[in-house]
Amino acid sequence: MHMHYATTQRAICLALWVGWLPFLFSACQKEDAEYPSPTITALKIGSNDSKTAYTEHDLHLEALVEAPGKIAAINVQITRTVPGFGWTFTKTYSSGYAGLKNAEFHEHLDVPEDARVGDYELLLLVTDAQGKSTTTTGRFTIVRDSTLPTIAGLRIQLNTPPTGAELLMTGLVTAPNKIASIQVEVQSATWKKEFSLNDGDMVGQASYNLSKKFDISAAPKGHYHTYVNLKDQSGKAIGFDNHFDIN
Amino acid sequence: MKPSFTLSLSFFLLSFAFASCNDDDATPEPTPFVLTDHYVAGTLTPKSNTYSSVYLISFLQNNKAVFIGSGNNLTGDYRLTKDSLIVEISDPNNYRIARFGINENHELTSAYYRALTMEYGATGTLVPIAATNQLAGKTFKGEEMKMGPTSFRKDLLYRFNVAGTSYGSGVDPATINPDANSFELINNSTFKYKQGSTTELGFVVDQKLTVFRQSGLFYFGTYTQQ
Repeated sequence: MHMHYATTQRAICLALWVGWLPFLFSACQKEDAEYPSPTITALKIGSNDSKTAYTEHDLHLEALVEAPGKIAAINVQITRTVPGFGWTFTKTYSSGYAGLKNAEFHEHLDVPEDARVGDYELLLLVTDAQGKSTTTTGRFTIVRDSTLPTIAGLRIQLNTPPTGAELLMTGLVTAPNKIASIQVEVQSATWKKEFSLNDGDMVGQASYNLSKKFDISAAPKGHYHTYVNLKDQSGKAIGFDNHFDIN
Repeated sequence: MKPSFTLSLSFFLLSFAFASCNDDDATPEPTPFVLTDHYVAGTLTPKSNTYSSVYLISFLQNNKAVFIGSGNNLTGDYRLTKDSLIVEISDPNNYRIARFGINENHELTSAYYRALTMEYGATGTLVPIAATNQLAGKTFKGEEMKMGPTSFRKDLLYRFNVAGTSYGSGVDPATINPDANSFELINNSTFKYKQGSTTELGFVVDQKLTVFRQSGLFYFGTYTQQ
């Protein structure tokens, strides 16, 4: 009986220590974890990284963000490169980014009609969950051009009829210098296709009601980026970026 | 019970006491002061004392500052020292300098402002940027002055909609539509409304709304939260 009692005591002690040891050594491990600061690469400003924005049009921004400590927020700051009056823009983006370790930052900002034309500086600030932050900057120019071609109400809609996926692109094209062509690029990380529109009924027109379908039935599932490049006959061009998912 | 078992058990229990993270017991460190998490809100009064306009200064990354008044926004630079905060817009055509005294509690103790060569009587408060809209659903009441200064409307009301995205104003509570005027929300406690030749700029600090309106003449006042 005594022998059995001593064995039980030893067993209890051993079980307690063995069971407790991992807690003892891991108690503070999580809080002490250190992650490197976030990184920002491949900053692109404007369609096709043109570094140009137009008043009354949107400004396309793109960058690759890596934050091993998980993204908390991404701030965008736009100011003129020289002191004085001009457009200023600040915005904090967290929805869709917070909690991610890797993200493709992609946003479109509206450049107001009254934005002063000239050179601007864009600053991108990424802060992680530990409060570590990284900034990168880039420059671009705001231009006002009333003769720029444009597509009002541009809409790119994914249809998935039984015959396979297709994109329906609609909008009103206006080009004071007459339409020359429209190029459409559709691409994901694994698939890319380009379409050219230079129909006789469109080329040379100052206004055109666009309604075109593009067959993308061969496109696999994924996140897709579309880039529409509208050129007029004086060589002026403007790009429009959009996104869709094939699930 | 054998002593070795008791001793072992005691060590085990003691280990609980020492194993907890030091951080749990530590006094939380005060949050470091970050100027970009604040903005200056204040008034400017010309030497003639005929009106008081409202201005704001937002602090951005890379020591950039944006001066916001009823006209165009002006971008400049700021310098923060132990006892001063200086904002300068060095564009010779739009030169501005705002100089503030600042104490160890990060409160502004004095304010000076000059636009080109004209000096103004200035007030300024360093306001933490709130996490939520400080105007949403609130009503403020007070006397509106017009350039002179003379009293214009004794019991003017400003009523903000529940979302804090628009407001209405007037002396008759029954006719005020808080959805009437959509505004730009700045720093979660300031509104800027522009429509045609009318601009209205106001900020709320300590339950007081200070407003300046440019609509032909200048109108201004401080209104108490109801």
